[in-house]
Amino acid sequence: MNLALASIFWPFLGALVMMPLYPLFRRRLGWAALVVALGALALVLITPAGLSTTLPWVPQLGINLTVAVDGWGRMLAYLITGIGSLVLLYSILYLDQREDLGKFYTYLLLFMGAMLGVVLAGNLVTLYIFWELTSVSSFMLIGFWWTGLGGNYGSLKSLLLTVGGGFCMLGGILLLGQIGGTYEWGALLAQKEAILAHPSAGIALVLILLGAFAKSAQVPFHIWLPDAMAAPTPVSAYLHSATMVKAGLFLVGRIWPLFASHPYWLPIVSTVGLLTMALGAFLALQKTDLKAILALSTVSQLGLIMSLFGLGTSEGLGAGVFHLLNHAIFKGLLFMVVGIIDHETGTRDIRRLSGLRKAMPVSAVLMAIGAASMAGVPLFNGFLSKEAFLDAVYHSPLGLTGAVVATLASMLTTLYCLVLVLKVFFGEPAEDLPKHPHEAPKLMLAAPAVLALLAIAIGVLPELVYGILADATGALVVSYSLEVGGFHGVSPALIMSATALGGGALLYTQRGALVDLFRRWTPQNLHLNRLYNALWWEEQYVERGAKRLNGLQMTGLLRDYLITTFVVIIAAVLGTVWYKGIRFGELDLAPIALHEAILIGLMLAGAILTVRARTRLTAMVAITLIGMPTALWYALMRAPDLALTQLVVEVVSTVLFLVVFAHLPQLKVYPRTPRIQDVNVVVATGVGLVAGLITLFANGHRIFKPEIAQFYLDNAYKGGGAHNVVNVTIADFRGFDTMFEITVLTIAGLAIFTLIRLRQPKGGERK
Amino acid sequence: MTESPILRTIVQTSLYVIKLLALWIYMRGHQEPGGGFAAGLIVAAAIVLQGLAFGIKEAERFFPLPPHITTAIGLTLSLSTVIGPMLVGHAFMDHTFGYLYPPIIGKSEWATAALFDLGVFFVVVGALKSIILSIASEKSADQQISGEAELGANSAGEGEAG
Repeated sequence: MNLALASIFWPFLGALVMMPLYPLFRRRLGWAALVVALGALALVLITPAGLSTTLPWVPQLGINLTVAVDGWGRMLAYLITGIGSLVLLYSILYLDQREDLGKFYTYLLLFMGAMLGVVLAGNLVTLYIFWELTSVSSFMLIGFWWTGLGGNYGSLKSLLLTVGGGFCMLGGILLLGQIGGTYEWGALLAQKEAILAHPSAGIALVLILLGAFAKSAQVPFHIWLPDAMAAPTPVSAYLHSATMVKAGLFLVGRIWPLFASHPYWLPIVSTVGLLTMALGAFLALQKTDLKAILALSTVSQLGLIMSLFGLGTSEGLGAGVFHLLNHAIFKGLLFMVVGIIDHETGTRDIRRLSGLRKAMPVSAVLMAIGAASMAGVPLFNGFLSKEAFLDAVYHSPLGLTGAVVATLASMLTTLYCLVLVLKVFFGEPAEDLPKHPHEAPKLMLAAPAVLALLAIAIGVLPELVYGILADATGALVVSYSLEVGGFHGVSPALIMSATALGGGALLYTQRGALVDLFRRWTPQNLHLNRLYNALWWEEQYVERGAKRLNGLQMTGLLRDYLITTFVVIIAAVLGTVWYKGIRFGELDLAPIALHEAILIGLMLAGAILTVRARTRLTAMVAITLIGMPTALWYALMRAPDLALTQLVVEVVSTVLFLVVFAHLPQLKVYPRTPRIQDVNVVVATGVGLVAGLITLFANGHRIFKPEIAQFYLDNAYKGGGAHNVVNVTIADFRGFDTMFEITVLTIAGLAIFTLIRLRQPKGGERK
Repeated sequence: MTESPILRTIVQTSLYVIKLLALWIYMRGHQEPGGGFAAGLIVAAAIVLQGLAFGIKEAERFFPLPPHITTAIGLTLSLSTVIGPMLVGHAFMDHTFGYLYPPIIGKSEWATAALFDLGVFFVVVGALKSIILSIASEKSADQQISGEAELGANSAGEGEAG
């Protein structure tokens, strides 16, 4: 049994059993989910790097379910399963027992499996599929509290933006596959030079990056993350800070070895990253909702890591990998504490919260640790990676500009970290909170406490994670020596760090004026949210445009549809005949016997009668006059199967028609203006011509020799074990068609059922 | 629905024959003209007949399972014979067959294609039954014609409940 595959499928399996287990466990279902998550963690821990396995899926197209474990994927897998377990532990008390826990844990485990699939995938198409699966589960989780408007808005927004980005990414992946001739990542990497030299490589890169940016909430896609905060806080901590939003970073890291030296790489990735970092911090300060602050600070920190990956240097990459790990730890911690505050006081508004230090001492300490780590205070893990970040930017091609932007953004980060701790926990205790604040139960504090311990442990003894980091970075670059931690003397990075911390503390005293200034600088009307709302939410321009486009073709008149269909068929066939210069070839036509002439006459009469009919009943009988001779014809041609089927179809459909007629108004004869008549004549003649021509061509050109029919005759018994060639063909040789036909029949049956049962009567009210 | 005792008597007796006919057509499909599709259509015709003679309630009872479940069973059966071979290492849709030699009957053939065909039968019966029942049990508000074409005269309340 392959361990990597097992660790992907184990959470999926868990997700499947959550709903059936819910009636048994009720409010204790979280423990069952926790067991699943711990199992996944154990599987990930014992999965060695370098493991690779391929299950063929659609091998003809190069699409395989390939898992390839390397240090980079493993590090993310630790985060996914480790933080996932802690979040599940935390969620047990966070979620009210009246919530639909079965669904919640199903989605959460589904996400865990999908995310593991993303980071362990070795085939780009596999990666894409798991990637979109994370978007879907994120959609479900954001919309978990769907009764409020926020849940609907946020979930739809995140889905549209991340899946839209994912679509671009699919384009990039397909392009890359075309260039390299494979979707296997290892094989693509092996032909790096050839791919980079290809003229389309830049397009593929940009498309893939769009997907990564959308997923990791980079400018201009950052607008979905704050609205995703409508999700329950465990989800925010898990998906929208620690793991899912890291998928974009993971992908950028994944393609780093291939594309880092591409001329587009540095300008696009690092510029977008730095811009996101600055904008996120700038916007975070203006928010008053604790979760909104954290969301935008996540945007900012993701931008920081993105810019590090964008530098294209191995130092930048190493620092980015380290900060990714640290950010997952401290941001998960911060979200959990904010969730506790929300849970215990009933509000997340920083204007109302203050002085909680006495009531919630443990939470205060935990929040302080998380904030200190995020701000980059020495002895906390964030300090080390932030130093590495400032150092990498300083020594990169971005030089001084990059350094100034980085320092300013870090200064703002320090500022809102101070707000998180000082404003909420110090000062006069707030009086008018919705709930009387008190400390959360120990079980709820356990998960953030573990993360806080990790933050300090890594900060003091970075050697603890050297192995993981070296493996992760080593999987992406050939040679790299890890240098984090320790005192390097007074370096530019240390000065920048000190400036950021000191400046932030100074700004805190003036924060009221600063926030006012920032608000004035923010052009509310030009906000990207306005654009999104115009397109998809309030004005719904996209939907209205689609409707209008649809309305052009969907007139509701059967005649229009038939004309469109027939004209296309006529044009395609006649066009091909003319373009390819097809001749009749050697016709082998039988003479028309008398009984055949009679049948033809009957059918012709039926056709004319049908068209001329003034009532439905006449038309119905006339149509039977076409169908019955057809059945007879099949019998004459020694095709009893067809004759039988045709006969039964004819009977059943006639009866059904009769039954329906009772509900239909009198046949409406549309006015036959000369223009309509002319078009009808032309189209009808064209269809007849095409049908006749095709028959004659088919007769004149027996392309497959010996004929196809002979193949079926020869193989029906040998291959299918049956004497009825028609049925072997239907069920076996061409069973694929039949399979879809019965699927269509099922859908048609359901559709008719639904349409009739839910139809609106003339009064307009729904039954 | 009709009150005609002649129709009712004929239908009542002929339904057994029709059921047997459908079974026979399905069974012989492997070797001779017939098969799941035709058999399904025959059952559908029988359902219509039942409805005409005895009303919609009886037509619903004709094939014991609710239509959507019948359809689901059929589709699942067909799909599993298609996907099943993949699970044991064969190609997608790789039908197989063989021979059994039970006592008395003698040499008999089995084939997974027949299972596939059985699925087709169920889908046809289920989908058509669903269509027939939904159309027939619908009581139209602006109905003008009534009488011989109206299957569900006694089921107006049911249509509204749905």
